[in-house]
This record gives sequence, C-alpha cells and structure tokens, in this order.
Amino acid sequence: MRFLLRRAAQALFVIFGVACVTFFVLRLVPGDPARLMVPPGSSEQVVQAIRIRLGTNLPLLEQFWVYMSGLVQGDLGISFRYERPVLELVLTFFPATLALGGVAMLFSILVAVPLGIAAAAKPGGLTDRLVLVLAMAGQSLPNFWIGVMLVLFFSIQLQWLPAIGNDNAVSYILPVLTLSAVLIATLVRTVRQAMLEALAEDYVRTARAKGVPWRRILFVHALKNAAIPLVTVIGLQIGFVLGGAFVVELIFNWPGVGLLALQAIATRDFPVVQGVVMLVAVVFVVANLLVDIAYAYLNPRVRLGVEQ
Amino acid sequence: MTSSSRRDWANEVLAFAALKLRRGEISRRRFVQLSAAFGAAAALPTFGAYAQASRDTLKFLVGESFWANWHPYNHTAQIGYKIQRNIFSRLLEVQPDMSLTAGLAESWTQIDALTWELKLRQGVTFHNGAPFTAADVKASVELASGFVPSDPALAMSSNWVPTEGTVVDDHTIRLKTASPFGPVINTMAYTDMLSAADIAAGQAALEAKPNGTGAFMLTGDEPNVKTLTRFDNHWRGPAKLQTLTWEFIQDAQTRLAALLSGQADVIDRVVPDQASMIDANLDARLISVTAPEIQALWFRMDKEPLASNLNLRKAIAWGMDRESMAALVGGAARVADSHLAVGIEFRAAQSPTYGFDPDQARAAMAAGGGAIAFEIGAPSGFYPKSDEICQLMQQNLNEVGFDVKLTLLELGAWIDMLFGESKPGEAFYGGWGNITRDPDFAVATLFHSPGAWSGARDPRSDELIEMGKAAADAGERGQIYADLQAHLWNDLLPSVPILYSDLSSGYRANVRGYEVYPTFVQDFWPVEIV
Amino acid sequence: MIRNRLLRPEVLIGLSLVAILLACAMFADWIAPHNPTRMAPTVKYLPPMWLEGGDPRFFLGTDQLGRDVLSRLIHGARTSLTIGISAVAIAATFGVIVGLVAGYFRGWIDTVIMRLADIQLAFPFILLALSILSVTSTKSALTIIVVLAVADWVIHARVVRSRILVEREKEYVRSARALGASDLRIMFLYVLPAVLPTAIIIALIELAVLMLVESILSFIGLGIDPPAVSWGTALADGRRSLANAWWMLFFPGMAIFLAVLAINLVADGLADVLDPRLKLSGIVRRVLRSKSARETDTAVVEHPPLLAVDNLSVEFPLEAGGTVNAVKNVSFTLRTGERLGIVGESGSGKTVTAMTVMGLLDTAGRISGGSVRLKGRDLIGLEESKLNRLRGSGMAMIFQDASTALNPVFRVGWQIEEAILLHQPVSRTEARRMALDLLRMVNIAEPERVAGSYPFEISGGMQQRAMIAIALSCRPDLLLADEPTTALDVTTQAQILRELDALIARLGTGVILISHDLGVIAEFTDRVLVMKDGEVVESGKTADIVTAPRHPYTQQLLAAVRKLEGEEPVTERALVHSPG
Repeated sequence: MRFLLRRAAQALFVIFGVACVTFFVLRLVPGDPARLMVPPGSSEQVVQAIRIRLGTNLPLLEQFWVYMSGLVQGDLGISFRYERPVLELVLTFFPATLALGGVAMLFSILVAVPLGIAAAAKPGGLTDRLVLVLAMAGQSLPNFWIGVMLVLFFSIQLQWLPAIGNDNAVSYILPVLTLSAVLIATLVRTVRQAMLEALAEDYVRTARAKGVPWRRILFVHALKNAAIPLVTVIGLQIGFVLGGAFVVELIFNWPGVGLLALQAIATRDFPVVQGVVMLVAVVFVVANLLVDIAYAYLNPRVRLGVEQ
Repeated sequence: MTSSSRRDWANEVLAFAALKLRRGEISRRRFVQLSAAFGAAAALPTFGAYAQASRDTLKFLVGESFWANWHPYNHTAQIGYKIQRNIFSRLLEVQPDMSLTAGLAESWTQIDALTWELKLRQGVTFHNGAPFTAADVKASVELASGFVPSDPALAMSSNWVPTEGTVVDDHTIRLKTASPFGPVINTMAYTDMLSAADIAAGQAALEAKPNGTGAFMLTGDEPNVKTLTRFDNHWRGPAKLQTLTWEFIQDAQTRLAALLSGQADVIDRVVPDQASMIDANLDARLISVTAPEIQALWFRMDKEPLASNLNLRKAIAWGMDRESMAALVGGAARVADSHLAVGIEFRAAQSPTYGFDPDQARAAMAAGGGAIAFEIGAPSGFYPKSDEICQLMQQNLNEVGFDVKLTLLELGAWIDMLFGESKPGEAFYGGWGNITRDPDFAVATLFHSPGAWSGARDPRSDELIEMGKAAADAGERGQIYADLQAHLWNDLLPSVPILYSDLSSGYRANVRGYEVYPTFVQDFWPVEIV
Repeated sequence: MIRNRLLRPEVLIGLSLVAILLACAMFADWIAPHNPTRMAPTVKYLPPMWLEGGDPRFFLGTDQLGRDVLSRLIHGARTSLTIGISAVAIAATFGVIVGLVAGYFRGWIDTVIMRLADIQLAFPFILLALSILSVTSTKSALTIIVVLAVADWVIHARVVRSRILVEREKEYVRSARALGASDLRIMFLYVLPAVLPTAIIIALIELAVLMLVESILSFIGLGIDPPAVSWGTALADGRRSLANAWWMLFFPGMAIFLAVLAINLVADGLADVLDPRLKLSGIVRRVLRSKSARETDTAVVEHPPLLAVDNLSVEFPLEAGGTVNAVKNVSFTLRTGERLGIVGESGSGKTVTAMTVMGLLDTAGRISGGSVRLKGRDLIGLEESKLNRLRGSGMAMIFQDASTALNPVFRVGWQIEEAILLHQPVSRTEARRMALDLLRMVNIAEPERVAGSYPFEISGGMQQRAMIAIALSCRPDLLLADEPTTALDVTTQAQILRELDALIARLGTGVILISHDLGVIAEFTDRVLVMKDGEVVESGKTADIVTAPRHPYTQQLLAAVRKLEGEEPVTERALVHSPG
C-alpha cells in the first residue's frame, strides 16, 4: 500500500513536470498564434486585439500562473482555433486514439505471446528461427512506410479496405496492422527471451521430475514467470504506442488526439497542444502505474513487500 | 471488376434467378441457395460500394482547416469563402468562366460616379424563414464596407470603401460609396448578404451560427466536419443533394486515397502529380483550371542589397527557369507573364518574358555590380511543389553566379519571418490567390505602401493603384492597370511572378454538375449523384 | 570459440550489409553514378530501369526533380549514418555517465535523475522534436543530431543504471570499497568496464532505432534541409509522390530496412559474445530427448532389480567441436529398498548419471550407449508421455538447491498438489488434504501456513522438506537425491538427513544418494559407487569402502573427510547404521 502511494506521488510529480516543460517549450517555438489567425500583413493593432482575446499579451509568468491554476481545477483552457474548451476537444478525440492503441496492443499481445512461446519451446527449431527473423524484420521496418504501402495495396489497388476514418470495425484493420508491426516484433522477442530464461530455471527441471507434461510446463510453470518481465515491457511500450499512433493517425486520418495535436501545432493552438500533451502524459503515467500494480500482483515477492 | 459493378452483377444474377423461379424453371431450394451465395456477394461490405448507400449525400474533403468563427466578414480564409458560397447568397454571383450573373440583385445600374441602384429579387427567404429585403442589403453592405465602424475593423472592410445604403423600397436599394470605387461591382460578388436582424443582434451572434439565403443550411458543426442540409426554400429552387458533409483532411495523399477507395465523393486541391492515379482509376475523374493564384519570389524592398538594385533583381528574373518550374507543378499551371494572374480583369501579357537566359542574367548581374549572396525563405508544404521550385531556383541562381541560401520554414515560422519584427532574409517565396476577378484585390494589399508585402514604397505604384481603385469607367481602369502592370514588370520588379497555380479537384464518376471555380469556391447547388 | 559464434550466418550477413553501408557513406562521391542534388526536370518520374519507360542511366528511376534515386540513396547513407552515429555517441556518453552516477550513488541523486527521465519519457517525442527544430530556422544535420540525442539518452541511462545496481553489490566492488578506494576510482576503473559491453550493444541497437526515427521526422516534414539528402527526406518525397512513383517510396524504405536490420544482426552477434542477456536469440539450451530410440527389450527378467544401469555412456559436444564423455560405461543395480550412494567431485558424472535415469538430460547431451531399466522396463527411447507418467510416481528426484528448484510464483501447497493430481485420481480437496499430510510427514510444524506460502517465505530447511514432500507424494519406488543437503547449514543438514532416513525407511523406497561428501554417504547408504571423470573407479558396500578403500582416489577422498572433520573416526558412524 505504501508502495502504491509512493508511486502515485511520483506520478503526480511527473505530470506536473510535463505541464511545466510543455508550457515553456511551446512558447519558445517561433510563430505567434495571434498572427496566424488574421490575414497576413494585418496591422499591429489587429494582431494585438487578438492577442488580448487569447491572453497571449500577458507576461509569460502570469500566463503560466493562469494556466496552472486552471489546470489544477481541471480547466485546460480554450482552444485558440476552435474556440471550445480544450478539455471537451481532447475528450472528444481521445476515445479514438485509445481504441486504436488498445486494439493494437491487444492484438499484438494475442499474436506475440503464442509465437514467443512456440519459439521458446523449441529453440533453434524452424519456428524459432522464423520467429526471430520476423521479429528482427519487424523492428527494422519504418512503420509509416508499412502503413502507406498497405493503403496503396489494399485500399487503392484492391479496394478491399477503407483508407480513412474509423467508421466501423473493418477500418481498424490497416491502422492496427501498421501500429502493431513493430510492437509484435518487440513483444515476441521479450516473450521468447523471458520464456527461455524461465525454461532454463531449476524449477522447470523439478516440474519435469514431477512428471508434468511439457505443454503444462510451458503454459503454466514457465509462462507465469515469464509474464513478469513481459508486463514490464508492455508498460514501456505503451509510450511508444502512443507516439506511433500520431503518425498512424496522420496517414489514415484517424480522428484521434494525435491528429488533433498535429493540426494544433501547425496553427500554434497552444492550449490544444498543451492539452494533448498533458493527456498523453497522464495516460503514460497511469499506464505505468497499472503495470507496476500488475507486476506486483504477478511477482509475489513484491506483493508481499519483500525487498528484492 | 470494380466493387460497385460486382454488386450490380450479383443483383442481376439474383433478379434473373427470381425470374426463373417464377417460371418454375428452378426449384425453390435452388433459388434459396443461389440467393444465399449471390446475396452475400452483393452484400459484401466492399468499400467501393461503401460509398453511397443513399444517393443524396455527398462527402467533400478539403485541405484547409475550418474556423470556429462564422462571421462572414472577418476573415480572409479560402475555406471560409468556400463554405459561405453554399450557405449565403450575394447580390451578384461569379460563374466558373469568371463572368458575373444576377444573384440576389436582378439588375444593377450606375446612377453616378458614386451611386449604384440595384433591383432585388422577390420571394427570397433566409434559413430562419425571414424574408429578404433591401433593409438586409443596407445592413450588410454598411457593415462589410466599414460604413458602420467596427472595432477592430472587420477584415472585409479593407476590400471596400465605406458605402451607405438607402432603401428605396423593399426590393430596391441605392448604394453610395464614400469615394469613387472601381471594384465595387466585383466586390459585391463576394460579399455575402446577411439578415439585418442578425446584424442588429451583434457580432457574437454572427460568429456563432450562419443564417443565409444559400442552398444549404449548417446543421452540424464539429471541429473537422461540417454538415450542410438542403434548404428547400432556396430562391433557385431546392438543391439536388440532401446532405453535404465537408471534412478537413490535412494530407493530400490521404484525401486522394479516400477518393480512390470510394470513401469520398469530391476532393479539393488535388496536386497535378496525383492526376495519373485518378486517370488510372475507372471510378474517378479530374477537373482543372488555371487559377488566379500567383506564386512569386518576393524581394524585401526595404533591405539592401536588392532594394535599390533593379539590375540585380532583373538578373534574378532572367536566371530562373520558370518554364521548368511550371512544368514541375504540371496540370493547368502556367508560367506567369504579368503580376496580374489569368482570369483577372485587365490583365495582359508583359514583355520581355524573362524566359530562362543565364547569359542575360549574368549580364544584368554584372551591370548590377556583380554577384551577391542572399537568403530565400520559403514555407514548406503549403504551396504545392514549393520546396521543389525553390530548390530548382537555388540551383539555377547558383549557376548564374549568385550564392543562394534556401531556408525552408514551417508555415507558422514563415509567417513570423514575413511579418514579425526581425526581417531575416532578402527574399521569400509566397503566393496570393484572388477570390475575385478585380485587379485591385491583386495589387492593393501586396504593392501599396505601407503594409505592402514587399516593403516597397514606390510613389508611382501607389499612385496607379489608387487611381485604379477610384476609376469607375472600365476603359479608364483598363489603361491604368496596363500602365501598372508595365511599371511593375519593367521598372520596379518588386517580385518575380513564377507561375499561375493549377486548381484541380477530383470527383467520383457518378457525380454530375460539379465545377471548379477559379475563385476557389464550389457551388454545390447543381450537383447530384447518379 | 568467439569466432564461431560471431561467424553465424545471420551475423555475417549483417556485417556485410554494414560494410556496404559504410562504403556508401565513405565513398559516396565515387560510387554514386550521378550527382544526387542536380535537378533535371525533363527526366522526372522515370521508373526503374527494368520497367517500361525506364532509362538505363537511372537504375532505380528518378524522383520528382529528375534526380537519380540510386545516387540519392548512396549519398543519403552518408547523411543518415553520420546523423545516427553522432546522435548515438552523444546520447550514449551522456546517458552512460548519468546512469552510472544514478545507479552508483542511489539516494536522492538517483530519484531526481530518474524522475527527470520519467518526465522526458512521458513527453511525446514529436512535440519535443518540433519544438527544438522550430527554434532554429534551419534544419541542419546538427540540429537533428541534437534532437535525436536529447530524445535518446534516457534509454542508455536506464539500462546502465539497472546494470550498475546489480554490479555494485558484487564482491569486487565491496572489497574495493573496503580497501578504501575512492568512489570515482571505483566507478570508472571497476564498475564502468563491467557495464561497457552492455552499453556498447545498447548503443548499436539505438543507432538502428535513431535511423528509423530520423525517417519519421522527415516524414512529418522535419527532415534535414535541402540540398542535403538523407534517407528520411527521400522517403518523405516518396510519400508525396506515391501516386506517380512508387519506387521513390519503396527503395528508400528498403534501404532503411536493410540498414537497420544489418545493425540489429551485428548487435545480436556482439551480444552473443559480450553479454548474452541482451541476445536476441537468448539462451540456446536445447531440450533433447535421446537420439537413440531403440526397441524396448520385452524380455523381462523374473523379479528384476528396481533399477539396472548397464554400460551407460553419455557424451556432450564441445564448443570447439568433438565430444567429451561425461559418463563412460557406468553400470550398477539397485534393489527395492536399497540405498546406493554415488560419490565423486564435480565433473565426475554423478549428476549426469542421475539425470539420465530420470530422462532429464537437458543440455546437448546424448546417450551414446548402454541401457537404463526401471523394474525391467527400458527407459531410454521411451516416449515422453509414458516417461512423464513414470516420473513423480515411479521415480522421483530431489535437487540440491531447493530455493531455486521450487517455482517462485506458485504457493508451496499448490506445487505439492500438482504432483498428486498428476498421478492420482483424487479430487482437489482430497489432494489438498494429502498435501497437508505430506507436510506433516516431513516434520513441518504448521502445514497450513507453509502450504499457503510462497517458497521465498520459508526457510531453506523447510524448502528442502517441501521438495521431499513433493518427491515422495506419490510413493515412488525410486528416489534420486542429488546433493540434497549441500545448500543447507550444518545443523539443518543433519536434521534433514535424519528425517529423510526415517521416511524412506518407513516407505521402503530405493534411494540413490549423490554427494561429494563421503561423510554423508558413509552415514546414509548401504552401497556406494565412487566416480571419477565419468567412470566408476570403485564400488561395493559402504562399510567396506570407507574402512578399506582400494582405489587411490577413494583413499584421497577419505583422507579429505578426515581432515575436515578432525579426529572423529568415520568407522564408528558407519557401524551405527544397519542396512536393511
């Protein structure tokens, strides 16, 4: 319990840190949002009027204070461009990203775990070599390249699958494949490695001495041990999945926060960019917290509070 | 076999089988089997067929993000004019061939140098049911032209001179400009008519929701998707389409993919390179015009060494292979031969053509005191092929002997560079699109000082521009603009126009009545899906 | 040996690709057929040479400005590689130092650094990149290197830190500190070299990652400014021209793919040699069944001995080639209820023999001759499923280190129940009851608590007792005990042995006890085999052997025992126990 509280406190600190860094970094970037909202060459008065409306005319530290005090109350500000509360915008777009990332992660786990186990069951065998080659290849491919080629082939040439949007279940196929390619490769490696290490442990020898059938050793004895490092790696990958989702959303025009953020960056819509960054940070931190909890659950040493 | 034809084929077979069943030629059981097989084929969720279950909904993809603010007079965004074309009507309407036809005004006569009288159409109503009368015209024009002042001034008012409206009767109005204003008729053609009641309700009301007399009403307002629904009482009669969905997709390749896979019916701003893919696809078509949009290399006329050195500027003009640059864009793009683009009134081809001639360039460079080093700032990814054009430009000019540094900037940073406090670089690449055929729109903001794009303060240009704006007589204006073009082309050269843009749209083969307007708008009233 | 592992086919392929990559990077100007930046719009969008419309001058076609794709790829190699290597060098140097400091000093320094790293990790990379790249107006190679390095250092820091956490607890560090060496000296002279191999491999892997990331940046428009060409910018151009020129996207993508793959292969080969933990291929230990699947001899001898091992030989392959015989022509028999000891030093083959009997030969070992019969039934060549039925019920084994022999993530009770449920047709509740009984049988005072505990929660002695409970749960006829008490302290050792003694006496199990400790053997067994270098050098009744060893090796062993135990004569103890 104390362990959880400590992790939660660390999580809050990280989120706060991200908020600060985002705020200042954004304002370092050239490009006055007020100027982007009026015709090029408009007079200084016109631009200043917009600045006043947006609140960007205030001194930097004052803007920071306004933002932070709003943040603490759950108010993420108003979008410069869409003129709606950022929280509302972000919450409208977020489910799509969550769905994409979640399905991709789930799909990757469902594919990677059996493959990794199969590979570890007969190291050096045909399945193993094949899986290793595929994993190596998967991690070497630029995922947006895969995405574009998939669209070219399946949407345009064959017209089997939609190229844009998330209207129905079928439209998940290409984006999820694109996002999963690298993820599966990484997870397969992890599962395989973890399984191999587990299988090399003494308790497997004991299980065999007990007469436990090989399948049961794989799926019960070894897997439960392998699950521990696997869960850690999944946690690390959550961050990369979120990042990868940005690019995938651009290719497929997936209406998620990645697309929202990329558009907002182009129009210097600071509040929206900040809002998305905050959301991503929160998701990342929460996911890691969940991973820690899962890890504690799976690893009895941690659960029962024994120092490793 | 395309997906839609596969479905048709399946349906045909099913119909044939039904016939056979009725005739007793096949058993009921066999028919059920056939239906199952072909019904499945017919019902397969293929995405070509995905396109239109209903034929009265059209999906239109645009490449510019929407604004939250619906005030028609307070922006210069092309996307604004595009969507307003369908929500509002204007006194006069521009046609695809750039001619003007009657809109809400049936006739218009000039009474004197400052006054026009317009007879208005009868039986027109707004979306909210209110009738359209001269009072609405008065309120609209007075607001748009700045006669009724706004603080800060509305963007639209810089295209007008303050104009007072006098209601003669419900369907007749007199408009009197504060000073002679040549472009007045052309400007009326892109000034949307609003309801006087809405204007009286205040700026906030106008920004919140549009209420016009156009063929469609706004019924859905999401950040990236706008839904328009047919207004049955539109004065031209109801539109053929029931629903129009406009969606913003930033990436041109993604828009194209959507068109080719059948998920969109019309896409805007197709890059000419994509034409071959559209041609190759049996279900898609391409339509192009040359737009009155000019891409040019602009000099900072308030910064040495280029500001005072006409020879160097001419050397740069001679040293660029503008033919190849236009060819890089392809499609309907053309090499520029004047500071006024095609489609603009009173434009004329200028000479010399500044065709690519490195020797001539070197001669001019020598006359200008020899080679210099300078920096060009260009917005990356905003104008089609601008990166490639600028790279070619750099190569051309370096071969002539200049030392050119090319800085590609993201749009926000480029705008900052242009109009921010520090003014880096000696030249920049930029474009300007005319949403009207009036030449004043093409020159006033760009070349008249102060506030000119190039920073030039040239008395002769200013004089000609002011004269052109004030002259009411077409012959007079023609002469003025001829002089202005010659002056800009030969004596001042504050920018080197490179090409006039290609404006292309892609649409599905079953879309009829769609046209591209050189003024960057689309009118969806006559469009239907067959 | 190292050469062999480095020269695996995959690694060779990787090395050759990397060599090509380096050649392109260094000699681009000579190798590339055309100038990569010269624009010639008249030949734009030419397809690759072998397609219709292709031009033999341009092998892979041309791009939207008429530039040769192949030449751009070759020059791009230089840019991409330079950017990648520079970025990784900076990130690794910085990251390793930070990780070193954080891992070594721990405490608040560690916490602060790790929180900062967390913040950076939580920050979306694209925004980070955009911010940095937008502050400078030009996107030169240097700015991109800075962006990549800033994004990447965290990985190096984290990996190094976790290695340091392990290293600093090791003996050599403790002794160095005890000797008074300064922190700095320890860090850089002792600890750093230990983690350097890991750091190098991570650096290689991250090089591949950063090359990919550079292409992503270019894809969203943040690539290096023209006229410089990198693979990323070539890819971005290809994306924009996908409609007309698929080759503009395909070949740069392939180039990136192959380069990244090559680097990963080389990193993997290096990991094999330097730090197998990082290996892609992991620990390659193979679970082999014996290759010789021979016919089982159906002729069963009347009243066969419990176990008959006849001329058993087992060999292992050596890294350098050839084989070594771990067990040479070993023969012995065991009758029901009899206790046999096998004694010898490590490497004598005693454990291998036991493993072979159980069918647990789990390295690359191969039975090259002989037979093993349990109650007349040939075990070698028996199908795995039949062998599984025998294991645990007909024969069982207990191992040296109970703390690792028990599965750490399952409760003790569960592990005992599993053994029961596998071989006996009882319900779960019944099995649970039986498990508790077993725990009582091995003298565990609170069977319910222990059954509900995880292995790490109970003492070493209790763990070993649990192991014994598992082994005896199905009343096997044969029990193999491999150094069952060596890992315990002396007092517990004696206790466990006595308890085991009483148990198997009650159950009448035949036992093979393996030990290097002649004292234990003497006290416990009826007969003994002395093994050295895989062969049986002496065998006979325990009493005889310990009083009058014939083989010089046995004599040495005895002498060693006497020395350690002081003057206590072994003979008396041997006489206390009576066989039977």
